[in-house]
Amino acid sequence: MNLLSELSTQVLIGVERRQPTLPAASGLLGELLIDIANATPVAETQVLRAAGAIGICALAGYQPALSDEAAMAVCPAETRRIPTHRSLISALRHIFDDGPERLRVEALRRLADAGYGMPPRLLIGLLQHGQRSSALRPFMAQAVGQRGRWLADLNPEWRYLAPSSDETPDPQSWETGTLEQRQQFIGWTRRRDPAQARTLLSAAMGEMDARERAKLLETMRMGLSADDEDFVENLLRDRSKEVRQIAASLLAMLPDSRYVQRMIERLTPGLKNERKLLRRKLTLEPPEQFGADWKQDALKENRVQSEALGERAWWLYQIARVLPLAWWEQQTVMSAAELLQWAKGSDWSLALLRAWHEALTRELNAAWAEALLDQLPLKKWKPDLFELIAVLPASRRESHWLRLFEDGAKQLSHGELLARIASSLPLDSPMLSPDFARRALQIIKNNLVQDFARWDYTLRTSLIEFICLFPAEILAEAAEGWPIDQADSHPYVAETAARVLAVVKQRQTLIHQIFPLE
Amino acid sequence: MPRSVDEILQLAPDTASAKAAKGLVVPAKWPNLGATEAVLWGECQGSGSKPYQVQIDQSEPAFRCTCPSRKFPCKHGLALMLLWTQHTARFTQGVELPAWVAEWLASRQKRAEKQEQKVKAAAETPEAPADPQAAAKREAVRQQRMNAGIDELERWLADHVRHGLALLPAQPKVWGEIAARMVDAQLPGLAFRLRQLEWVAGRGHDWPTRLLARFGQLQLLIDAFRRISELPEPVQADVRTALGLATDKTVVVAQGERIADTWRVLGQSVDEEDRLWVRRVWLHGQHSGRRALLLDYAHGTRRFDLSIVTGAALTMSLAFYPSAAPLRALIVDTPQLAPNAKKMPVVTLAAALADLAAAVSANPWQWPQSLLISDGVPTPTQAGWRLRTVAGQQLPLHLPDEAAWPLVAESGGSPITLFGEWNGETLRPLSVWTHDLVWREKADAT
Repeated sequence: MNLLSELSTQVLIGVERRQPTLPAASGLLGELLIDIANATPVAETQVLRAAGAIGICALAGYQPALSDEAAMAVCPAETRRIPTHRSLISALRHIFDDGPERLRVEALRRLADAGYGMPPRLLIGLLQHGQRSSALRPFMAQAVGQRGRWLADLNPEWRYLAPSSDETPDPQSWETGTLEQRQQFIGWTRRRDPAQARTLLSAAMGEMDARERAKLLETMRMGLSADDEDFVENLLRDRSKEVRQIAASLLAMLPDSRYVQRMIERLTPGLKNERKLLRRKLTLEPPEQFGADWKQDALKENRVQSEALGERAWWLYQIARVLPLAWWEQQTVMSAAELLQWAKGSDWSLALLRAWHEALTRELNAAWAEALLDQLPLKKWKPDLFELIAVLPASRRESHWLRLFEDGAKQLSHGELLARIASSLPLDSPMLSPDFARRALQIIKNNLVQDFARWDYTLRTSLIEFICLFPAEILAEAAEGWPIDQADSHPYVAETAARVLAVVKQRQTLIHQIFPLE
Repeated sequence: MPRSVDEILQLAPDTASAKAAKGLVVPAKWPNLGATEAVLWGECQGSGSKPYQVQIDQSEPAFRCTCPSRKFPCKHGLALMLLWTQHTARFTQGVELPAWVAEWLASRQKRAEKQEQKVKAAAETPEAPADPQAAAKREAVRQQRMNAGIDELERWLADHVRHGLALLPAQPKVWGEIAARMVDAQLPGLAFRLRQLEWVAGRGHDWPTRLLARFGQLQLLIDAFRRISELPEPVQADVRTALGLATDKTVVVAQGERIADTWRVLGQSVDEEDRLWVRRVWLHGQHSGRRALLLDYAHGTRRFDLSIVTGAALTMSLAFYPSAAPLRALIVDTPQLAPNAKKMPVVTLAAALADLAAAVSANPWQWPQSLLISDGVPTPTQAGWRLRTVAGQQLPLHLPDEAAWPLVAESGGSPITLFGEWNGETLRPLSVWTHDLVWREKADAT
């Protein structure tokens, strides 16, 4: 095309201003161009004919450009087996196209455990999912195989997969990075060397605005220890209320801190364990006055308008929530259940229950959670049941969930109930017990034939996720008895049922088609 | 014939339809499902009070649905086919056809017979004009219009060369105007070529070179038209096609070169311009080694014969249009699916370019050309996607990122077989093969 580009530069300004020089070439093309020049009297037509001839010769003689860049590396040979079974590939495709996420995680874990890798044609979809959902990433490393890692090296958007992404973040990002980068950096440092993170943070506190201080202080929750106490306690005098409050909540996590000690001292005078006749009687009088030094410990004198507690109860609640639950037990020689029973009968029940609820969620104290659950429901106060149940060990949770199902869960639809259960379990949680799964499913199925089931929109997605928590041995049962071909069932219900069956089938395919090498 | 889910979804006009169809594979939504060997039918409850009647003639397949969708096939048709593969037991078989199904089949039968008769009649008696005198007069008027159009275009080209090409990028309307003049002159092929120039003028640093080359080719076409009677007959045919003068299909069927072979569907592309849909289906004859192009048009909606699926091998006879490099063809009998397709041919880039040179020399007006290349690696570069050989040759690929990465995943940096359309500058990939078809251009990619 070089011949043509010379000619076209001339034609750009028009041949009327400058008589064009036709290009010369060697060989047959050259002869042709000379013939054209001789046979064509008009300059414009001469240019056009020459351009046409050169253009067509260029089309016919096209030669691709040569690259001086090095060719990209060839992907190393795959060390994992790649599934070839059509039904498995098709199931994987549907799982990664339509979800749910929990099923994707199961597929990745099964592939990884059995030494399989994702088929190349599904890899791009998987890498893109990982880009959007960081929850999926921890399960991808093995199943992507050589091919996936090779691809991740080529596309910066998939770098998260590269082994280097877990290496030291750039120290420069602490000095000059965005808030998010700094958060990442300090979080990474905190995991490896808590003292170093504390030193860095403490040195930088003076230069940051309130929002940055608050965000970065949050990272101290990880690996918090008595060594951090001095630094955090200092922050109780921070200019920002938010920072002061985070500092207080951090100190509450350290049962032996001076902060907790001060709170104990504030509450103890009012707590009396008196012997009356043969019985011990526990009484509690909240403080009458808001102490002069309380404000320095991030206690608030005044309530917000929506607060249900009275003034003294409000002070009591703020102090009591900081105290370790073990302290109550030692102090009163009473168990969690006894204390809760006592509190229910006292004038300060709401303040105490709320304070203990906060303490038990902070301490993840299963005994207290169980005891509190036994006292529910309460008239004045409705704590989040799922948060409480999540504090229990796995084996103790199902009976509580089942109770929610059987009570006909007044405020929650079955769909919401399932959604809350599923969201309280990590994506790679162990499966539910067969008994619980069976019972719950039976209740849902019975409910589905009722007309109101069609208004339960959440069920559409949450039931499917629930099915992903079913142990393998009851999948076949779970596929039975759905109103899938009853003409009178609502289309929405039928659709939900069809989705359930599809997911059951996909899971069965995963289980039967992915097996470890003998 | 039983189809896999992937094959069925390949028939979908776009991804939205495929997704909607998957959502309809719920037996409860289909109170009546029936099947015979030849036909599937079902009633699907839509949003209206009356269910949609959906039917499929399995042989082609042909779809019909009473829903108002303009897509073809609609989601109901696709869903019915998916139901048949996934829930076969729910179809009642061996019952009498419902009246609405029987009517449709009968009307299809009738139409097919009519068509056959028409073809037969045309083959036996070459159409004699009803009124030879009037026909001659019409022909003379047409010739006059064409001559005038050709003169006008030649003047137009010369004017722009005289005044300079630099002014053209600032006048986006000129292309439509001169194209419209060529339509008036009954030269739609020239109109098409001129409209395309809007995307050349001012685009890319070398646009003056590319634009001048296109102008030059138009001049050569003008020259060829002026002395068409002196040219060999196949070249005449190519010039006429390039100008957009239709060749009578019945003549092609009756007189065109016929080749019976097992034809592998290498790829298909569908483009739309002004509500006119064009589908190009590229075939490779497994025994003859010939390349063939089936060209279909659809007005208003995208509606094409669905029996042709990329990757399939079809045993059938083709009749080729006359040309110095015969390529475009018509199917003259009923295609039969060949069960054992041979392996894809292996063609190096060098060999493919040599074939291209021969094809362009014989018929420089064919657009686009096709290329099948077995030794290229799809490679991301700073300048865009390239198909790169071991020797470092690089062919520019016309491919959006989301379509390109799956090709890289398939290749793993090693050569793959890629088939696509070549416009002289970039290659538009239509299909990719390893041991089998692994990728094809999505219906709604362009």
